[in-house]
Amino acid sequence: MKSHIFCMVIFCALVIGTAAEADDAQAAAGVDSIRISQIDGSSLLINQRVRVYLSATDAGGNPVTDLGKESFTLTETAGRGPEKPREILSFSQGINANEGINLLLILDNSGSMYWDGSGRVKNSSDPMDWRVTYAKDAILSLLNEIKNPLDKVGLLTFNVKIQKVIRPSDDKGRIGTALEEAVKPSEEEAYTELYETVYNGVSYIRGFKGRRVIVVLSDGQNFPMKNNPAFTKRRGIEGAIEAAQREGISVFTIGLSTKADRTNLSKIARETGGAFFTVYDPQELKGLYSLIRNQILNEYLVTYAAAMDPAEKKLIRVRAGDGERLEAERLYFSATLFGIPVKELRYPLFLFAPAALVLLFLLSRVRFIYRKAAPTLSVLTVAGKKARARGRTIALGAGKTQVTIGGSDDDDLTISGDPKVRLTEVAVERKGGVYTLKAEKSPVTVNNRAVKTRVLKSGDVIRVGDTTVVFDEGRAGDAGK
Amino acid sequence: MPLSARVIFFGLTGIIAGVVAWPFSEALIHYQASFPSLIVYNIAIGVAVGLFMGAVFGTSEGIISMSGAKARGGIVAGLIIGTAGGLAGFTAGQYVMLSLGTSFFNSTGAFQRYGVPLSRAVGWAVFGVFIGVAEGIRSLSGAKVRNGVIGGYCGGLVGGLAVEYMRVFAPRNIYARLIGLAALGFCIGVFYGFIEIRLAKASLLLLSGKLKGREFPLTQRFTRVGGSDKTDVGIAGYKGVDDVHVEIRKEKGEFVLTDAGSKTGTFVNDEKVKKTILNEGDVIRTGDASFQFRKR
Repeated sequence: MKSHIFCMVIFCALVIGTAAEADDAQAAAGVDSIRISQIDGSSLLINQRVRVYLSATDAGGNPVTDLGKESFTLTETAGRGPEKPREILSFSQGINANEGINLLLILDNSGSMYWDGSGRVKNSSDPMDWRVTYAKDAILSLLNEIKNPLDKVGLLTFNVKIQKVIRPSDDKGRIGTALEEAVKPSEEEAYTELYETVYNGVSYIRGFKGRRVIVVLSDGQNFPMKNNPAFTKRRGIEGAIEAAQREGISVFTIGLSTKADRTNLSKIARETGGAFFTVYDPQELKGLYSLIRNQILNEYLVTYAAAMDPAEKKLIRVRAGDGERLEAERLYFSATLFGIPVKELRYPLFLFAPAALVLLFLLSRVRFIYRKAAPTLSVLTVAGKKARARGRTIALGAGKTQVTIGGSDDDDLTISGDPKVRLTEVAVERKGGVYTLKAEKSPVTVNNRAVKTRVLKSGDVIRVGDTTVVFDEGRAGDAGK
Repeated sequence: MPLSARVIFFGLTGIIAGVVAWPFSEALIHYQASFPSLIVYNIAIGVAVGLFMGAVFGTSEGIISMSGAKARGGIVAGLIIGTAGGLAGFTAGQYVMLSLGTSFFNSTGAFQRYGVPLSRAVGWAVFGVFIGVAEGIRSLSGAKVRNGVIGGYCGGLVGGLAVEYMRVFAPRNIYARLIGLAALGFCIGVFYGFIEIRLAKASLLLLSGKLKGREFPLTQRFTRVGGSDKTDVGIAGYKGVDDVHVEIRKEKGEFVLTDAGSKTGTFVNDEKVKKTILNEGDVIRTGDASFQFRKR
């Protein structure tokens, strides 16, 4: 059966121009591809610096570790503008080795993982015919390789739902136990919830400091179950990618067998700064996990100062060696609070400022001055509520010597809507410019004092029932003063 | 002028503030590539926008109370505090935007459409807070500072979203930022005025004379009433009103009126008083000016 096993082929994502000739670039000898795995623009505002994490690998996918600053050139492009070369300000290699890396391994435990590598033997009872056996072995040998106590490893196994969750820790024994407990799924579990598992995986590794990486192994494609109670809210491939991007997590994907979904597995890797690998022979898995780990451990960190050209996003392009064949590019977010300038700055727009200032001046000339010359009585509140300003004011005209306030239609100022106001309550008499209030029958207050008769002044508040009326002599009274 | 007109007035000066600041910001944006670094660029725009918006908005209290001295004091306070606000607000906004924006970046259209504008609006809100507190700092009033913080924050957030969505939906329109900035100013003004009214526990309604109908919210812990520009309830031009005639102090939820040694005296409900607790509907008379005290 093993006669159909294919050679291992590795596709590295995000590489433009993959096949470097052996006689290429002296400075980057042995490098087959480079990849920008992460861009960190978080200190852009403070010191204008952008940090670029680079991975350089040889034809076998192994990291190339002896490259120097001079091996790389870096350019930045704002929108459709010219490609601007930027000086590399700092350069270091292997920084993840000191800080430790956090790995979350996601293992497909669907039914097909219990077939053999070619997919022809489906019901063998010999574990040596199962793909999953090799995957487990590969994970165990990776665990044996990890000696750095700062490195943390976690595990998720899944099919129709996430079966086992081992959060990243330095306790490798727990992962071994969990792997032993992963058994062949039943018929009802014959689904592959790949995207939802990756989405959820992000939340298990999110909280760790340092470089965080998810490695997904699957031998098929995302095969969701309808109305799956384990994933009531679906995030899909976009949701999974976006979650990883948001947290700066790289997702490496391994497609096992010819049935693996290359398109989408490589999409996940490419958009999160990881790499995608196709493996046809399960036995080759063993070296692959440590290869991925080595790639991460040996990443280069390149820092440069961003140019000031306005753009929502900018493209970083890194070239190694002579730059013809080895090239990697990735976008980063560079928008400013105010956005992109207008195409052409027209000077007439400066006229807006003086025009607005003239408006401000006019506004300051607006006087809210009370100008009614005639004496008035105006209702302030009716039955305790604010009265409508209009139609509730009467002028004490020159012809009249007396006006009345009350609930009757015959009154000069009729109060309707206040049950406590009876027919005629109050009279205001005018005698030679002096206004006198007379309230013989009912209890009336002026300025909250009970009165029978009283000479009124501007601003006096007359209360009848629950209604208040303001008296005003008018501006005529001010004229002489 | 009733209290609602006050709110509209604040909104109008806010619009003017935005329009005045616009050409200057547009000019700076145009020369972005000439700046040495992002932080210098941010500070320059922040200072320009804050300076102009702060100065114009600072005049609003003076214009409303028709006091030239208050307006002039407002320009200076607004200029200084607005500049600081622009600097802090824009730097904070850019920081929030870069860190959040990087997360949202590359992802689905929904995040580009909602996440990024929202994160930027937070920066505008910080800016709004500074514009809002200018009047409080000018008049050294803690309550006004609080009103400015709340009003400025809400106004900045809502107005900031307007700025951002103008950019999202009309990116090619050269007047997009003008409309956005005017909306920002309007929102800061309206929210400031609205918060001032909502948080004032009482007000004085003027019942007589040339300013009749004007309502003064008693926002502060300590309010002075008189003919001078320095008072908070300024009633210049009334006969028999001293420069500082009456002081009203908020004590344990009560408003206590004290006559400030006036020549003509202070009358509450026609009784001459030196000091008294004010009740709803009390009529206060100082010289020719008569007020009604209203609790809210």
